[in-house]
Amino acid sequence: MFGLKSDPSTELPERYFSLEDYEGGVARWCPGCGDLGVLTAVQRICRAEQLPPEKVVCVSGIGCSSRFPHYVGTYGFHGLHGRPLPVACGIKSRRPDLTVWVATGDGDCCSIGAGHWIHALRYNMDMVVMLFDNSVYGLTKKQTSPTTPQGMSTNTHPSGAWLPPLDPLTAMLGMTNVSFLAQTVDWNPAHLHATLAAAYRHKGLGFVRILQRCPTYSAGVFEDLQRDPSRLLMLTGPRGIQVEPAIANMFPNKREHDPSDLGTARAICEAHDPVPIGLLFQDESRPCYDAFTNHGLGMPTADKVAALEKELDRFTV
Amino acid sequence: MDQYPRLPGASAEAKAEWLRAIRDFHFGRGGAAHPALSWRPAAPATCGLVVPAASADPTAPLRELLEVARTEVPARREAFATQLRTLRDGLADLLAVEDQRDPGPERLRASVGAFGADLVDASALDGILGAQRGSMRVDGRRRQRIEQALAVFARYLDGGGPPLLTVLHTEAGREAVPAMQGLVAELAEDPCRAALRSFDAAAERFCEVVRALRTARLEVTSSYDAERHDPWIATVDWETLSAEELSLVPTIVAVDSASRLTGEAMPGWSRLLASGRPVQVLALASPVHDPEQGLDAVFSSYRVELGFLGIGHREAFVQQTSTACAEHLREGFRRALGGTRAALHVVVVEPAPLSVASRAHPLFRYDPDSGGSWARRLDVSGNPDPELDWPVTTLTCLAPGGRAKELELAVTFVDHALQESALTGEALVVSDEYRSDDLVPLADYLRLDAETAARRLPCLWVQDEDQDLHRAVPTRRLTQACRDRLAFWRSLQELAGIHSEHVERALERARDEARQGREELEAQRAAELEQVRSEAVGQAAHLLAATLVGVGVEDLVGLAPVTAPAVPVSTPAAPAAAAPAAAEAEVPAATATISSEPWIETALCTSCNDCRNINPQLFVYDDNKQAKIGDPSAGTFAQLVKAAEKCPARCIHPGQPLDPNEKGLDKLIARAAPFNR
Ligand SMILES: Cc1ncc(C[n+]2csc(CCOP(=O)(O)OP(=O)(O)O)c2C)c(N)n1
Ligand code: SF4
Repeated sequence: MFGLKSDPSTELPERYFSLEDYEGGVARWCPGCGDLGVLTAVQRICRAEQLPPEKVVCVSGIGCSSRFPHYVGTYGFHGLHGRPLPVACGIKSRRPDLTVWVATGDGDCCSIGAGHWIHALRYNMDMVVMLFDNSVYGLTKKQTSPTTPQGMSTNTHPSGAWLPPLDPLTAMLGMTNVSFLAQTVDWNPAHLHATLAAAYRHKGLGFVRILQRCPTYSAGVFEDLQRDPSRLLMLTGPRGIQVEPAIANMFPNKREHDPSDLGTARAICEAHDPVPIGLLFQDESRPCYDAFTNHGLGMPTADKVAALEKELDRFTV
Repeated sequence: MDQYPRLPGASAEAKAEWLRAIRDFHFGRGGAAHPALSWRPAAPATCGLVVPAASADPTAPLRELLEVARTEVPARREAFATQLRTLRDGLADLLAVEDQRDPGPERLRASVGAFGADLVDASALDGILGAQRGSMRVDGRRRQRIEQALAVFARYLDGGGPPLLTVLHTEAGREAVPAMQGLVAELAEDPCRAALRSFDAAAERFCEVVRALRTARLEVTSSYDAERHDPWIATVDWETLSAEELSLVPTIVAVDSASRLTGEAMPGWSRLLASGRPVQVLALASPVHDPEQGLDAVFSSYRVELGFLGIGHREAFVQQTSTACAEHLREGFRRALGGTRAALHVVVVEPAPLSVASRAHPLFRYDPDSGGSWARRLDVSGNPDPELDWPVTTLTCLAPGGRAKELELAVTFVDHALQESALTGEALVVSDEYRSDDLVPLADYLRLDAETAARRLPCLWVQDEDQDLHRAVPTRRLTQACRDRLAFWRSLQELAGIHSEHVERALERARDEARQGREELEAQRAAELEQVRSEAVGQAAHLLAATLVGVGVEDLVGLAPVTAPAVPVSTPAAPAAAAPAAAEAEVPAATATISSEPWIETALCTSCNDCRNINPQLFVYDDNKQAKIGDPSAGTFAQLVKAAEKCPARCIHPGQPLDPNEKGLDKLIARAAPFNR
């Protein structure tokens, strides 16, 4: 009789993934580089979610931080400078079943990749984008990046960066169709982990700017934030990033914030001091372009070839 | 109208004699030749039933079923095929990757083309490329599994698919089978037994595909574990399929007549329904008079309810319906084909819903998927006037003055039965001359108690070609058959919650309770009112007395017999801001712990490896890849201090040296001090 025998779903394969399953090559970042903590956080989320490694893709551009895919035991795409987002959107277009993590630097994303940045945010495809913001071009050994603080001496501006830095947060709060925007710091692993996990759970593009220490080329830019946590403003609230009370207590400066309130989010970011951490903005109702680009996924290869040929036939002379 | 039989005189004897003749006819003792009954209008028609001229198409039920299958099944099959194609491509990719691993010099040479062949040493290149890395190899057994699955997929995908319906029918049932695409018919002596065998064969063919599908799912994620999964795959049969998969097993339909199914073919369909196999049984019913069974069957016994027997199988889907109720029929087919249960469809083929309108064959649907209770499972909606014993129809006729008059008439089983040519003799028109209260309209007659009924005769209205109304008296046996239909309809009503005695009793109880409650409440209110009144009087008397003796009213507060509302004692409220401040104060302040043991604030470790690069035994990672002290004796105090200084998260606390003889301790302790605070 139907239903007497076992439910087929209980017979599904059981595979358990440990942290090692998400380990790739040995990380070759400088000692003390903030990127290492982000790597661990992502691996821990993959383990917590038990994502099969073959169902995860890490995508990056060029830079120290963009070495990320090499160090994760999943699929990866180490792309061109500034171009991780188009690659990631391409993957998501045709493989909605994959989890996509994007690693990009402040140079990679906000400088050469700025054009893609705007549009990927608008496309709002389901992925996590991690902006490793160390305020400098690390891989090429200290050039001014868009987020370099004014006055910081670099190889391109030895007497100090001339312009005030670009603020990626206020920039993104003005971009069309942004759906998730958070900020965290690499030196608080618990907050970093909770923020990335929230971005992972978000349906749409979860953008996390990570203030990332580069002890080699921008040592000290975040020194006072790290030493004096009251310089940071922790955003709290029922819809925000949730951490243990012991972790929350490390930040004396808190403010309840409703992430649906775009105006207040802007005001908080524009103040610049204190530096906000937590969830600034979230709206899951915003349209995701992957819903459109995923059309016709089940189409057999032969049909696709036939359709393509038919289309191309129109141009035969 | 002149040949109208006249009642000779109005004498009591004459009247009694006419009545005797009518009674004789009713009880089947003759009497039909008596002038009371001998007159017949040229074209009498029972009232309220419009009988269409057209006859019904015997293939209608299967046509409809096929139509439903056509709207439901192909999309389902296509979705499944898409799944298979995706898996097929995945498996093919696996093999393709495998084949690329050791390309061999030949293939390499071909791939670099004629131009490259001069530049590249293919054998040398092959030597380099042969070294593989990364994913698992496909071993012999695995390859065999993959190839087998691919072959099954190819057979299924390229095979054109099974017919939408496979119909098994008897010789007599042949006329019910339309010649249509998508339908394959097979002759069978006992269609239900044959359907069971057919289903098992079709299911087994489909299970082969499911086995390949399960294998492929595991293979594409590289998680096929022969030890665990071989036995599991081997046990796949129709009972292990998911509901979605089961709905893809080709549909088998057994067609048979209701009379055979309540007779010699009973064991076959009963076993089928009890087996749970999702097979469709189509029972073609003739609810009034089944020519296969002869007239006797109409009168000689209580009718066996095939649909009811079907419900007795409890977990099968059952519907009783008519081709003239197309929407009802279609909805039943839709549910049956959408579900995973055995289904029995008792269908009347008729051009107009006469059998439904006369309760000869009431509509119902019993769907176990709708819930656990009768109320949810049994649905009698679609029947006309479901609250009533018999549906009511309004008839316009001419009153003696020539005025049109509206008459409400119950449509009974007898009205319908008299349409059948074999049964027309079962009622005769009574002469209009004969007027008597002894003739009671059938619907009312059936409600009489036995004693009163024995002294009355049932009648119904018939109309002649001039639309004039006359009464007709049915035979006793037809009346009894009608009573049987009513009894069945009433049990259906009750099961479906219409006029349920349980409900009525519960309602009565609830009404009683409510009445009682209301009375109690009123009594209580009256008592309270009385109390307030007497207290008010007391208070007024008290005030009056006080005024008289010169005490001020304000002095009376507290003395008054009526209790004054208690005034809350207000204390200055703590300022709201104090609460969070207090909460914060509870947070342990960063205490300056001076531990002699080295320790790490693990939660703060950013996994930067700096400490582990100094000494991986002294510093180890926990499950979250965050550092903790491993073996404290495995390293020196100098290493602890160095790590504390390097740690970008500043979460290493070196404590005090373990080995008092370590070199340069004074300096090290001083360097450790800032990290021990
Ligand atoms: C098209 C192109 N232009 C320039 C470069 C040189 N280049 C390599 S990395 C880099 C900047 C990296 O900075 P960032 O994105 O902030 O990453 P970080 O190294 O700081 O993590 C540049 C300009 C390049 N590789 N490709
Ligand atoms: S240069 Fe800076 S960003 Fe690059 S690895 Fe070193 S510390 Fe990290």
